[in-house]
Order: sequence, then structure tokens, then C-alpha cells
Amino acid sequence: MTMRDTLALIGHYYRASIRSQIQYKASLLLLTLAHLLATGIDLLGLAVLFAHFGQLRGWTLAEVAVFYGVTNAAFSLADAVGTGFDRFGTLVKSGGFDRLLLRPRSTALQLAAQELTLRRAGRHRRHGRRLRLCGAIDHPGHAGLLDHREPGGDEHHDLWRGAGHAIPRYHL
Amino acid sequence: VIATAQAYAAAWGARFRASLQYRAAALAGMATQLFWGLMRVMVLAAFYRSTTAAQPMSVEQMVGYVWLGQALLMMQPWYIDREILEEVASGQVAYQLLRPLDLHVHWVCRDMANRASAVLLRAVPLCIVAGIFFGLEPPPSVGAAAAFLLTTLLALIVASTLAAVVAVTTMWTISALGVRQMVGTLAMMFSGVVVPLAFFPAWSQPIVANLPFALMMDVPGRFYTGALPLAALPLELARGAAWVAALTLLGRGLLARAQRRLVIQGG
Repeated sequence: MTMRDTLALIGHYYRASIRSQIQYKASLLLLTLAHLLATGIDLLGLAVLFAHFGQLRGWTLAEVAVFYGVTNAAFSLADAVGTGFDRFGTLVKSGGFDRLLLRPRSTALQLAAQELTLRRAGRHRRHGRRLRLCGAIDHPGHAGLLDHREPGGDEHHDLWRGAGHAIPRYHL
Repeated sequence: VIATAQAYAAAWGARFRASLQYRAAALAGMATQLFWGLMRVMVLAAFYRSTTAAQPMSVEQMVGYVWLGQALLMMQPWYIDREILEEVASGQVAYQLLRPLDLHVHWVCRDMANRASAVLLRAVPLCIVAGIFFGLEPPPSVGAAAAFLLTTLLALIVASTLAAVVAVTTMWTISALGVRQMVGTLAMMFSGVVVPLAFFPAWSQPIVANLPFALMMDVPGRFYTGALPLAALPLELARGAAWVAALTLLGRGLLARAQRRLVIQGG
């Protein structure tokens, strides 16, 4: 099995998965919306806390939101691709895993390719918007942010710079 | 009347005993909730450390409030009896309609039993662990403890009547996943599980306090920690009673409408 062959196979699986999901358009839309709301709740919670306390040891909401967005985007990407593994237990119980064992391909590949979860798009999309927003807010004041950062926070700062500059550009 | 009440009580008891069986699931759930509780306590503690201004609740009260939020997590209406939803989707609800019981009352009873057992199974061990290791203190007075128990019971009734409303919507949408997630998300935010309601901006306080979600966790939590004086009890009870009445009327009204146009296929 060449690499190309494997990728083509995964592509086939994903296409089938996406086609089946967009059959129920209203359901997909609602699920995506609900997903967006569900992840937005944490950010809203953060916003409430920052509105009350003002800042967290020199960190502002926009900065924390960038971290939150980057982590969450990474997680949702992994989650969208890894849904098949989530279903492993159900597959074994129902006997569906036996079918995978019969096929002349690796079971890990077949599990991974089971589904590309579209409703997670709600997450990606929101992060894009949020990162753009944070980038816009923080670009002019970037130098100023350095001043009130605690000493020893260099590592965070580099990370933040990476997030604040590179990713919003990418999404723009 | 007595025979009917007995039937509902029997349904309640059967549900309660059935869900008490899932102890391993409850234990796993408790471990997750310990983790989340610790995380929320740490986040809030970091905010407390970054300020010197007076806060609406002390650190000890905040810690107690967060742990109670985790203990009462299964009270929140994002958790709705899956069997009821499946009954509607599969058409089995026809059998329930044949029984000489009121479907709405039956649903509320079942949901209450499920909710009560789920909360008890998680809350008791969680409170013990949090009490020994993570700073959960007993209520400051007997009165506060009594107010907490009373409002928790009220929370159970409010949550179950709201869950019944959500369950009725399955008659229109079959899966009700969208409605369930929306209600669940609202409940998480406005019950105080994500952020204690006391930290919400001042302008939103009157709105937030009058939503049914506040009754499901915030009010019992504030009575437990003593952040809310006992004098506030009658007002909270009145608010709860009003919501129970409103949600019951809404649930029954929707169900009556749904039943008028209900077609059970294949029979």
C-alpha cells in the first residue's frame, strides 16, 4: 500500500462521510450553531470575569482569548478527525469492528476515516473570527503590552506574539 | 386520587432504583467533576489574587459555591431522560398514552426520579472528597443548611418541569438535539456553573436572577455558603413556585397541542 493509495482511500471515506452529513441540512445547521454556542459559553464566562475583575495579573481578555482560541481550534481539528476513535467502544459492542478486521487495510486507518465531523466547523469558524478580532485590537498596542507583563513571562509572550501576529494574518 | 398518586409514586420509585444501579458511571462522572471543580476554583482564585477590591463573595464562599455547582451538575437540564426522547422518536409513546395516567405528570415524575438519583450518586461522594481535601466547608448555620435543602428540592422540580417542556418539543422535531443543546447551554451559563452569578455585570443582575436557571444552582449555592441571608428565602421560594407554575402550564399546553395532531404510525 503506497502512501498515495492510503490518502486516496481516506479521501473517499471523508467524501462519503461529508455527503451523508449534508443530507440533513437543517440538522447540520442547528448542530453547528449549538456547537458554536456551547464553546462560546466558556469565552462568555471569561468575558464576564474580566469585566468584573478588569485584568488577570496584567493579562487582558483579548490576550487570554487568543490562547483559548488557539487551544480550542487545535482541539476541534483533532476532534473532527478523531471522531471514529470515539466510537470505538460502540463499534466493538455492536460487532461492527469485525467488519473492519476483515478488510485488507489497517484498522487504525479505517477508524480514523470513519467520519470527518462537520459540525465542528462551528468551532473553527468562530476561532477564525475571534483571532481576527484579537489581532485587530492588539496590533497597535502590542509594544505597550510588553511593559506590564510580569518578569519571567517571556515564554508566554513569545507564544502570544506568534499567536497574535501569524494566525490573524493567516485567517485574514 | 390515592390510586393515581400511588401509580406516580411507583413510577418514581422504579426510576430511582433503576438509575441507582449505575454506580460505576457515577464514579467516573465524579472524577471528571472533581477535575473541573478544581480547575474552576484555581481560575477564580487567580482572579481573586489579582485584585484587592472587595468581592461579592469571600474566597471560602466562592470555593463552596463552585463545589456545589459541580455536585448539582446533574440537576441542570442539559441532562434529559434519553428514554423519554427515544419513546417519542420511536412511537413507543403510544403505550404511555394508553395508560390511565397523565403523560405530563408521568414525564415529570420520571425525570425527577432520574435527576434526584443522578445528583445524589455524584453529590454525596463529591462533597465528601471536596470537604476533606479541597476546602468545601459546611454551611455556616442550621438555617442556611435548611434553606439549601429546601431550595435544592425546588431546583429539582423547576429542572424537571423545564425538561418536560424540552421533551414535548421532540413531538415536532424528533431529535430535539438542537433545542436540548440550546437549553443546556443557557442553563450552564445562567445557573452559575461556569461563572458565579454574583460576578455578572450589575445591569444584568435583575434579568439573571429572574431566569429559572438561577434557581437550579445559584440560589441553593448561595444559601449554602451564607452569601444569601435567610430573609431572602420567601422571595426565592415565590420565584421558584412561579416558574414551576409557568413551566407546567407551558409543558401541558404544548403537549395538548401536540396530541391533537399526533399520528402514531403503524399500529
